[in-house]
Amino acid sequence: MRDFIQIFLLCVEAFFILYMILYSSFLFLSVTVGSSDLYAAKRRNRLKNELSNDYYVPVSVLVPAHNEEVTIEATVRSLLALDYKLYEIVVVDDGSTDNTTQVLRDAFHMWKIERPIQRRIPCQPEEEIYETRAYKVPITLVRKKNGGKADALNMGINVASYPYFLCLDADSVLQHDSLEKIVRPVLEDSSVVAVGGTVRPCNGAEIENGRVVRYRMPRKLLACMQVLEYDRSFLASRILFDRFNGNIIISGAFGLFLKSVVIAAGGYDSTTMGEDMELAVKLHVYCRENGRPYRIRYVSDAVCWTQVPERMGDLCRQRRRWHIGLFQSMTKYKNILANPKYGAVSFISYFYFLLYELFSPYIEVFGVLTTLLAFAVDLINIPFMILFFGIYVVYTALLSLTAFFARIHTIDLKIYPSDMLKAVGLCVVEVSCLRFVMAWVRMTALIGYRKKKHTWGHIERQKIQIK
Amino acid sequence: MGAEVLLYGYGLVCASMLVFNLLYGLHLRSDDRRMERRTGRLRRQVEKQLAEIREASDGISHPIQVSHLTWMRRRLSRINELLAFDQLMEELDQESAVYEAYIHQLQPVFLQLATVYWKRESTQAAYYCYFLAKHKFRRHMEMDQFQQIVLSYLKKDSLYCKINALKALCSFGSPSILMDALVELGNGQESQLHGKVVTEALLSYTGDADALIGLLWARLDRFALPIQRSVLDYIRFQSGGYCGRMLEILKDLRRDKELRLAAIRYFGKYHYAPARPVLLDFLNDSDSTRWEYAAISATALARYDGQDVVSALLRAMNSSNWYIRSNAASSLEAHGLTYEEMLKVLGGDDRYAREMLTYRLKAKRLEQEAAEQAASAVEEQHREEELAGV
Repeated sequence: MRDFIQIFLLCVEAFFILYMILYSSFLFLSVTVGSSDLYAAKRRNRLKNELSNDYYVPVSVLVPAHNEEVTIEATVRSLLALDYKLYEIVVVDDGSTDNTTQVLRDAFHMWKIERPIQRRIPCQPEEEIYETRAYKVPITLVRKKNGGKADALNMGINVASYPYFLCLDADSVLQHDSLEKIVRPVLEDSSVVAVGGTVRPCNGAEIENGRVVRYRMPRKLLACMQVLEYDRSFLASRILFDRFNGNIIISGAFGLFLKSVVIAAGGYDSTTMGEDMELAVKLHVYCRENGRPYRIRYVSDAVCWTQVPERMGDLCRQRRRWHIGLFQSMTKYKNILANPKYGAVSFISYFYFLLYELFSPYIEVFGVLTTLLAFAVDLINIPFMILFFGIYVVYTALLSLTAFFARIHTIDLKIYPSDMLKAVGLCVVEVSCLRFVMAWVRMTALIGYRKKKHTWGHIERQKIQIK
Repeated sequence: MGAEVLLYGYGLVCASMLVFNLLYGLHLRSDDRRMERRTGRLRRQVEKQLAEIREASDGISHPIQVSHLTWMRRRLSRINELLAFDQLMEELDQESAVYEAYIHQLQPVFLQLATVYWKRESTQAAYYCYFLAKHKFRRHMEMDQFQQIVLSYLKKDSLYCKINALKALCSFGSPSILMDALVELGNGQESQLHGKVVTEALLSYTGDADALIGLLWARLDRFALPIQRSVLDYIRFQSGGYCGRMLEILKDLRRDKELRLAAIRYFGKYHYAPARPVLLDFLNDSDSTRWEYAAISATALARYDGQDVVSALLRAMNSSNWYIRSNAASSLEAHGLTYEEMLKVLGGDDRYAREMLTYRLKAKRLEQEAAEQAASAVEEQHREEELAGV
């Protein structure tokens, strides 16, 4: 029996060494590529290697909302402060049970209107439509029967008047220049069908007219750790994947899409919880299957500020939803795996998401259990284990800090010394503790997921600090 | 232990990156000060030359020192110094004769710099083109010698370099070189460039627009299709004097759909009686594969009076295509038809037409109310200012 366990542990060890080498190589490559890309982009901007502000592609900004009475007014006001001329705002209230509609009606003096909607994508019916033309751009509010976020976005697409639409979470705020910047890839290359922007946690930031006037790390430690995590993940994979048109996720909080292609591909799938990833993968599939030349881009300097959960319960709920969404998208498009037709999308992006996102919680928890087993049968080299874990923690923490500072410097934020210390201290905690808690949460996410696939997932909102 | 060594190696590189980040952060903090120092150094030299020109007997013909030209060429060959000079030029009085005389005499420097930056990496080359376009040197010097060099910047692989070079050529105001630039631009992968970018660049052309349009017409077929469309859009924004040529394109069945649609938009902006029957034919065409022609014609016909136009638009309100109905409703409004009149003619049977008209009417009311609100707010502000004795 002991021999059997020994052989088993040797196999596990070999697997984990290979797994970790691949993972650390990927992280290493993506953070170095990402950092150098950020600095190169900053230099390009300084030397005016950019398309100036005179070009405006008409964009419909879609804001799906469900019980967002606390944040919705601030979100719409921030949208009105964008440095862009040609856009409209469409808020879709997906059957809120709070005063989301009333708050908007009162704040923006909106009038009820009978507006015909061209229903190119199926969605739940509208109940009321309100409009106002009293601001710099038209604002439309559609109140519809509850159908989930994807369904609300489909309604938004049906209502949208312009050829491009941008989806934005109701608890998020766009930086004043983000619309202009997210549109640039479209101007540079008309085959671009979708563009993802950068999402940063706004907890702790003070935003005035779409400009961050004061940036502090959030007071709550959980939110601080998410800042590090967001910076690492946005820097780690998206810039690298962008190099070979391999991004298979565009954050639902901030993404621009060519409406005609999204409609042709069937719009958002309202049966999945990760509608953002599902749409990005669907666009890859649609364009490749139909032989349409396309690009899906990521821009690091188009920034959207979003609230991250400050309570563990909220964070767990959010991550559970994300993991279920990931599972649904990966299984729905499983034919991409090892399919030469999809090239790097299949062999790099899909493989990475499968192994290091979808399966990673199981692999990580399996690793912990195996360690316990080895410990129980006294087959563990404790100094080596500690060394290996230490190297892993220091290495990942270094990557997190590299991503964090690269991000801070390249978007001209000033950071306080106390925040710097906070980042240094918390990156170790994030890697060595939070990551394992999240692994457990994600591992258990799929239990009973079918029951909650149409829910929005409630997270306690706070007023965003906008002046 | 191999994995461990690899991780140590990776960790070392990451630690170096972290140190780089921290040093870069410190470097950024002093960036403004360094730029100020550079600008100050250039300012002292330039102002000395400006003062000498100012003090010369006839005011402007005093030659600037050769040593200054050499100094400037050496300095401005460095990208950070060129950035500082760009900043300095914004501070100077660009309308004065002294400034003009000074810049005119710097021509050999800029010419040498054009060759210097052509050899540099494309980011710097793009900035040099941006610099040329921004300061519109055509006012101060002959640009003929520059043109061929700047045209060669279009062969660089950077998209931004190409766009900035195109803008620089537009600022030079010479039409023939722009033709070569547009052909070059349509050849490479940048032919995927959004049409608006080329149109906007052409709109910044500083020379004789009619001469440019004349050449654009003559060489239209030499350009790639997306460029042709941008050219037609440019002509639409620039002048209404080309209706005959546009009508030829509209009627030419061999032409690409996008070009013919651009021609319809032209007649939506400029009234041209001979285009009217063609637009009506498009609108009356019930072939659903050609709905785009019908939808854009519905918009264009807002500028064309007559009962036949109104009747065609009313018929279009029954179209199964949403865009045709929507555009026809807008045009009927422009023809002065009231909601009640439209409904009366349509008989109120068509639900889709009724809904569209109802919406248009209410949307118009909202716009009027918004305008009234804005006007009353301005009035109130004036009243308050009067009361406050401002």
